[in-house]
Amino acid sequence: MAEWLRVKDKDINVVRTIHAEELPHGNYQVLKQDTHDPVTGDVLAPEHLDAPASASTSGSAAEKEKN
Amino acid sequence: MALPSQPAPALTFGRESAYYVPTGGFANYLAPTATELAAASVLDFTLIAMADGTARPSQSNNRVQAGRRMGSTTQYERKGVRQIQGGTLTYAVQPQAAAASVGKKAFEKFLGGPSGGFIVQRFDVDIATAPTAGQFVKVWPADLSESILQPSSDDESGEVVGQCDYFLTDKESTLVALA
Repeated sequence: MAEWLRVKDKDINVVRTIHAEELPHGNYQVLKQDTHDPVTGDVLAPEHLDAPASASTSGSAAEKEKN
Repeated sequence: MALPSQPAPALTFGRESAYYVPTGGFANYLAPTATELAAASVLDFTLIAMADGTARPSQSNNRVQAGRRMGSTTQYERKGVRQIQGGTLTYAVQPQAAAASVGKKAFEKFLGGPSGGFIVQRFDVDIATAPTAGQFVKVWPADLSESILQPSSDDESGEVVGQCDYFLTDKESTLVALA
């Protein structure tokens, strides 16, 4: 099963869930936080730490927001 | 009389770049910034993707025939469903390269799963030029499938390539200038 990490991308101040293999490919700081929603099992959406809450995220996340 | 205007051709030879931006990489993907595109987590796969086997985003539009009126001798048409299509990304991989090395970089980022991301196209800028404010780009929200490895060909020209499909999941940006 894929291993996931919740990380902070220090370049753009965004918290996101990534595959463990992606860790070397970014300026990441690993956080001790959930990677998935404990209720639905979905990967947690990214959080923009210094952007408005309405900021758009990925395609799939944008779809979920619309529905 | 002045000649009609004629734009110079924007050549793509050595002047087409493509980037993969992981999910959350843009605060607002309809208004991207050069800083966001320069983050270490962004993969410039311009020299990793194979020209042969990598599909650019494309579209097809249904043509709907309008009902011909009884006395009319002409039948018109209307615009129907617009379908946006991603495609397959084929890219160079070195299976025995160390983890996190250049030879494995794309394979370790194009992993699929539900997190998604963005494909960014930049045309008419030399590939060695870094993303800079004022350059125009096109941003496509995209999900990726898992990658597989296979030979590009069974004959003597074969080399190992990774392949994954990408799916365009939402409205694309206009040709927007990086802020």
